[in-house]
Amino acid sequence: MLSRVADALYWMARYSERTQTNAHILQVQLLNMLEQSGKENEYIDHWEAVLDICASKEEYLTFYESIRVNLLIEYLLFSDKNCNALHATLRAVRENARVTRDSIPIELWELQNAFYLSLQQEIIGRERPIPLIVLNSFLQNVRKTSLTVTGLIEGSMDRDLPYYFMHVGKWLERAEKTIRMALIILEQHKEVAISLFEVDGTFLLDLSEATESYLRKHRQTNLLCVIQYLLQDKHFPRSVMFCLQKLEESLSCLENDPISARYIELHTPLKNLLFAMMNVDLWNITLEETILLMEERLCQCIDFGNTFATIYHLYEPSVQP
Amino acid sequence: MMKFYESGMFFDEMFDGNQPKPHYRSFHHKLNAFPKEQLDEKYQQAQSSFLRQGITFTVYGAQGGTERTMPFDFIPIIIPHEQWEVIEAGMKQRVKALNCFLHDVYHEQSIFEDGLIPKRLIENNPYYYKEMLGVKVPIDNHIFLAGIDLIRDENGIYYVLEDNLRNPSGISYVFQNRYVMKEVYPEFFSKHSIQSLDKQMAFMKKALLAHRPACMKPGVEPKAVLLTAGMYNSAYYDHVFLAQQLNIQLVEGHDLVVQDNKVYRKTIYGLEQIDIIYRRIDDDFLDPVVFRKDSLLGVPHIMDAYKAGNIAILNAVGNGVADDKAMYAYVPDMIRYYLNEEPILRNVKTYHLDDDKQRAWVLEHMRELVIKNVSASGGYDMLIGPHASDEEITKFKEKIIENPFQYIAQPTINLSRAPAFQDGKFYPCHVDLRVYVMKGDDIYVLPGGLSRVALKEGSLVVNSSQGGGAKDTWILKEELQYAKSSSRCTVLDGKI
Repeated sequence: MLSRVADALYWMARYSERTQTNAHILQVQLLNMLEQSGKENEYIDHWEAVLDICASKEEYLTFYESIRVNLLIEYLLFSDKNCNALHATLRAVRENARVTRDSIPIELWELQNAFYLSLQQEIIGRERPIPLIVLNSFLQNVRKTSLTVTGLIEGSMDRDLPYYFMHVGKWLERAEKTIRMALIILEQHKEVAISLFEVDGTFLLDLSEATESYLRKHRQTNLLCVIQYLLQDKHFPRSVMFCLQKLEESLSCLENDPISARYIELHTPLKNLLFAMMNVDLWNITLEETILLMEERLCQCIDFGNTFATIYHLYEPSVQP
Repeated sequence: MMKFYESGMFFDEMFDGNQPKPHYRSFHHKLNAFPKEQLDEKYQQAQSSFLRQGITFTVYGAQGGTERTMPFDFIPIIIPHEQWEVIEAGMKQRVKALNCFLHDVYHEQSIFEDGLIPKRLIENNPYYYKEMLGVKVPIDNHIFLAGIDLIRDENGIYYVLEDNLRNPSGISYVFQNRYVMKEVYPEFFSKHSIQSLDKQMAFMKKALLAHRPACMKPGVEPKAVLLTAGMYNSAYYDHVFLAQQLNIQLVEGHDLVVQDNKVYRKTIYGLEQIDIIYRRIDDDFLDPVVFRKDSLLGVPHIMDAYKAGNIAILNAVGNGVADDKAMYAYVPDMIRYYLNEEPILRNVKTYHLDDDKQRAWVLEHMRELVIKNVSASGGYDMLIGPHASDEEITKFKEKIIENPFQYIAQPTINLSRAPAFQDGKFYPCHVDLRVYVMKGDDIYVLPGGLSRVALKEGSLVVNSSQGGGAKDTWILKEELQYAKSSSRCTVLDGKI
């Protein structure tokens, strides 16, 4: 497989995953805010968290002076200034699908293409502000399309190189996102005097689509319990542990030979990450230590992504060995 | 009952006066039975099918490119079997002669020595590459895929309008038009027996793989790729379609690298040598070391690998010398010279404006003629005398006087017409036909081709970049010439 095509498949999967998660997060927040008043601290906190999880607050503030709902919606969903706006990630998915059309099911390309075109037609040109009910149904459509995409991939793609490159993109993106969500929520508590043991984790559960799964197994929604769950649960498909296991599976399928140099080079850091994740114990460390630990894990994920890209020549080198 | 029109002074593919021709009767009958609302609905369905599949081309304008679908018209061009046989033979003959000519241009140059074609025509030609002199291309074939444009005059006589020997595009539309036609208008196929397109790609693949470089070991299957300019290229869909159908990888220039005069593709496991490149980028962009320095689409040093015989490039480099509008006039002579045969298909009379006598006559008769830039295509830099303003005529006269080598003139031909159904009504539109010819060890002609239609009422330009659309083309099978329900009439439709 061409490096360029592998790269495009990997990024298509990452952007697709990003789109799906961000759409969910935005949907949660748009409903959530209906019950809050604009003056409450929680309201601002939640929007700031969403902004930092789906994009970057720092970057947002270089364009706008204040955090206001309509501006945020524009920025997170449609603005050209934000490379992680839903419109931009959907475009990236479509363009990557377009250049890999000969490696993915035709229906997959058609689905991504038709969805992007309908977005262009129905939403982009619409008068602002877009009514909440329209936004909500749009976000719902994004999620439904993502689910169809997942179904198509799982149900119709050969278990071959293209499939596994997409797999790695998807699970790595998801692992990073989950760590990031936990990290951002933790950082928001740095300036608050309340002890972490008393903080509620419902919002994080909602953002990470974990409420249903978590509440079946636990009664307390304490933030630390929630984070521990999101990092370590082996059965919840958004937990970091689950994602890492999926990555490990993909690697063994990409490289059939467990003693090949490529496999060892990739598997070693992954194994280290898995081990580190297994041994996380949030109950006996301070908030600062917890944040540091999360940052380290996030860096490990990013490093793994870089190693993966280097080994398979995903970043176009000028001369290959 | 549908409301049509009378064929009038033009040759019409479907009608004689207001009556359908024998080979269109069955189709016409079916059409008459259709409620108009259903046709409107089917029209929408067909267009959205193209859009959903991303079968679009890019139109370049002030604000970058916009994506458009090629408008599709469901009324097919139907060609009787006997007529197609003649076209097919004519096409094979033409491509064979053109290939001999290209070989001659880059080797012995005997046709110039013998005085049949003035040598200045190649010397002045920007597509004549001295780098290609003496280069031996695999199986001595320069033309892997040709797109030859045919038109018909008011008497129904076919003329070759243009040879495209560089990168003829649009073959994917032939297949997609048929696909959409079968999907959306299945009713119209009943009672017709037409040549299928299903197996045609196998011929193309065979022709492609026939171009194995001479240095390859026997028994090893050559590795082929399709080199595209990328997804923003106007013909990208064509490239994707062909790569898929030929089962070869779609690569961009930066996916390839030349080392030790060999061409490699960059894969996830490192470099892998390739043997055949079906390139869909122009010569100019192929190798920034030899041609345009600013080209980002090509592969540095690929010409070295080509000359060393380690890679086949299809179509061959330097084909532009044979398909420009000035050389076109000499194709009948090439057929006589190389094949010792009389041309089967006619050429449109062409005036060379660097000839003083011809130029003087043309300048007097601009209103009756079409003036074309020899190296332009897509309907650009062209003057249609009868439709031009005084100002345009003066401007073209100046251009001709300033640069007579650059232009040719041809008589205006009353292009034939065929009915189109757009915006809820039928009206006659001018049509032409691009026929695709593939050459490997043998020559194949794709049955039918791309019927292009000038959908703007009264317009003569069929190019998709200028508002043209496309139709399906049906070649009737021998045994069921005029469909079961029609008469036994065997009169040919028009003449060859």
